[in-house]
Amino acid sequence: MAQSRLRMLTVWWAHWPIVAAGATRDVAIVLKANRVVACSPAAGASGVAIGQRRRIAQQRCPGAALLDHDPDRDARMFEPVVRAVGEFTPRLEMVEPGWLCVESRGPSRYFGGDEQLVAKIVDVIAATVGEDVDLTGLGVGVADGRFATAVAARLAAQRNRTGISESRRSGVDTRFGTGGAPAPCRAASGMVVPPGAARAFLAPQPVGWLQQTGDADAELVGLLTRLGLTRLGTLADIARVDIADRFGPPGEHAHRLACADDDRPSRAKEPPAERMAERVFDDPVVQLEPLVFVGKQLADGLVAELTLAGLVCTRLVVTSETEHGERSERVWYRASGLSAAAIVERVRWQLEGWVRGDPGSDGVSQPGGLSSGVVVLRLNPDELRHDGGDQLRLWGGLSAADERAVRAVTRLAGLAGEQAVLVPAWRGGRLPGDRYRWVPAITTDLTDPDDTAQRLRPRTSSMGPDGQQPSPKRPGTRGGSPSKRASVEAESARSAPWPGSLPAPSPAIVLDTRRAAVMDKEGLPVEVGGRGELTATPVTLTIGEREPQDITGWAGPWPVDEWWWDERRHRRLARFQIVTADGAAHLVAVERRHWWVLATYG
Amino acid sequence: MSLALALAVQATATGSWLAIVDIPTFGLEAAEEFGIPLERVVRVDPPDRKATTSRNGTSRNGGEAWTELIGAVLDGFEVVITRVPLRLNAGMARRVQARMQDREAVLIALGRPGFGRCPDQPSPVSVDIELQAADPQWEGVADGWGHLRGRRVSVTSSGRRVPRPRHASLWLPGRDGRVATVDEAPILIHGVPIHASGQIHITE
Repeated sequence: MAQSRLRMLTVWWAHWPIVAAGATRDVAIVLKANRVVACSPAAGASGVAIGQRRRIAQQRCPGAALLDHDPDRDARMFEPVVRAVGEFTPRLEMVEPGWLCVESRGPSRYFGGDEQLVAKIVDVIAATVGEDVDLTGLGVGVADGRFATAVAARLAAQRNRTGISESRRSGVDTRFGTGGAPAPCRAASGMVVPPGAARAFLAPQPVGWLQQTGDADAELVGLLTRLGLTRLGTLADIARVDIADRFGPPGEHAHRLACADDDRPSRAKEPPAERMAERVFDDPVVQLEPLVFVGKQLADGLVAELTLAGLVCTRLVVTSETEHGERSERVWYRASGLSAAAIVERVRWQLEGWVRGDPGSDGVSQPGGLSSGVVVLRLNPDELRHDGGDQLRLWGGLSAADERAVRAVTRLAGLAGEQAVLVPAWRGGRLPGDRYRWVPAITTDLTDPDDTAQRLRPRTSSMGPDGQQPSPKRPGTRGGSPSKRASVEAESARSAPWPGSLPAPSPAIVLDTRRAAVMDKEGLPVEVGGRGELTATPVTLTIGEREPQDITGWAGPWPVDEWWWDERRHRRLARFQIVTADGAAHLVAVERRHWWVLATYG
Repeated sequence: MSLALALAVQATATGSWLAIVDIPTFGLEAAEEFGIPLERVVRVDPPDRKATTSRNGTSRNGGEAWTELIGAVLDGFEVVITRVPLRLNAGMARRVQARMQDREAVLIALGRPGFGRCPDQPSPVSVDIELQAADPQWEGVADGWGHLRGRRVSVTSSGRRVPRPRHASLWLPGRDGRVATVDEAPILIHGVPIHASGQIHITE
């Protein structure tokens, strides 16, 4: 089976969300679920990087404008670029806004070489996005195979960015115009890998690239790193059958990419025509929302069918036609497979500009989207892959419920204020309400399982009294994380004995403080002596302003003497569990002769 | 409150998220012992709680704000525990219920809806299931010794979705901290599908 090495070109724009928001000249950061997904060059110069937590990014760059992640806007703004590039490169695939892939053999021949093609594409893109836009994050790569060209484009973008910041740092800034304000960088970087040299090009690159392009997940990359396979060349040198034995299909796929062998996913099948999902409309549809709704139905059906057959779609052709024959067709590619939600998203991105008439680079909508209504919507899976090795789906990852909740949290924080939306965090203590405290949800990353685990089950036992928590370790970032030591420490923090804490069940209603009075049968208040002995048997319990209740059962006193070495924080109290005649049970405490209800078992 | 938590256990354990709105006295340790994973618990404190509970003319603002907030909460969370504010007119209640149906969420409300208003006026919220826990009996403490171990309650369910009121005896919580039936007879609480959209009222 000869694998053809298709020569491909990738356009990769490193911080496209910033460009889409029009904020390249400003200091801006785009956040998704409290993590940085894009930042402007000025912010990058201050040390903000992709993947950082919001807090860290704000520390590095306090004056930065914070923008929300808006994939629809990114897609809308990218439409003109796609169209422009598609004019002279007919076989175009889009992965996501900011990432394009084209077959370069034909156009390269037409323009007289790869370098010329790269220059032409950069010119076209620069002309489309307008004068004002900084091209610092743009990189174009040409190589054999999809993976090699993706890596090349990213390296080109990195080189461009560091080149600019270096020139800034060294004081040599040739871009200064007469006005004194720095003109936007208009030079983009391209990297061309000669034909046949892809494997040699990839060999010194770290295996982390597999994760960056979406071809492998963090688990596999972490595992490879820990086993010492830190470069793609080292991985490629091992026999494929051994890799397949040890790592299974995802490992085999990674190995194939490292050898620059395959530009199609392993075991790609040509699907029979019946897999196509299509809807023909009796009445032409002119609005976007019904189309997207139908798209969702088609996508759900298609993905369900494929999942039943154990397949996942990696390459999808979305076609839409109107009554008068206007047509929108685009190829979408994603290495890790397209889920139903991802398909609907892409359908929306593709159709939004087409149906409504996409905004030009100056933001003004061009006249007239379509001349008539849409009659056909078709989803055609072009390439399928066996689902068996897709670890992204097996465990980890976010469920739909998780994503909905995270979005709702952001929205609620906007409605009710940041301090009003809270999540639990472990603190430790023996009084009710002390074991956990509430922290604002905005300060945590609800999508990150490590973060959540650290918040609720802290790893080290070095927790200060204020519940200071050390920063979590990310797996796979270092050569060998001592997992055994971490798990032992995890146990120690949570199971650390809190002598004097009450056994389960814990009270369900924890009050702030409510005054109480416990009387004996003479109506005099009951007191507890220094050694924990009671002056009389408690007979009635009065809470606040309510009627006194007869006590049907009680237990205690359980003394608590906390912080005896600290003058300010010293607490000494005795707790009782009291059951009253109405069936309610309370946790009551007496401190310095004052009684109050700590909590109710409601 | 424990009853509300018990209802949420099944759903949250299988991946749903729980939101607690306007209950500042929520006991997290109890929730954890019942089996609710704390990774999926979020608490929301609506601002201006005074507006919703006051009895003068500012109630309208409070009700609107509450409706909007609960709408946003229902968008993202499948199980919601809250208190129904005193001032909630029929229109707002209808909107909230429509949103609930839309999202297939479950709203668990504590206490009586419309408590404090005219007893002649019918309550604006229509309840799918109403659960009442009565006759609680704690076990474990006696005259100065022991500690609380478990509570037996007798729970009655009624409401629109329950054609005939049903009763059961439950450990709430039992000796191991979780909810269980007292006898081996088929239990009705677990028979109530948690994923159905609807509103459940609890009266302690």
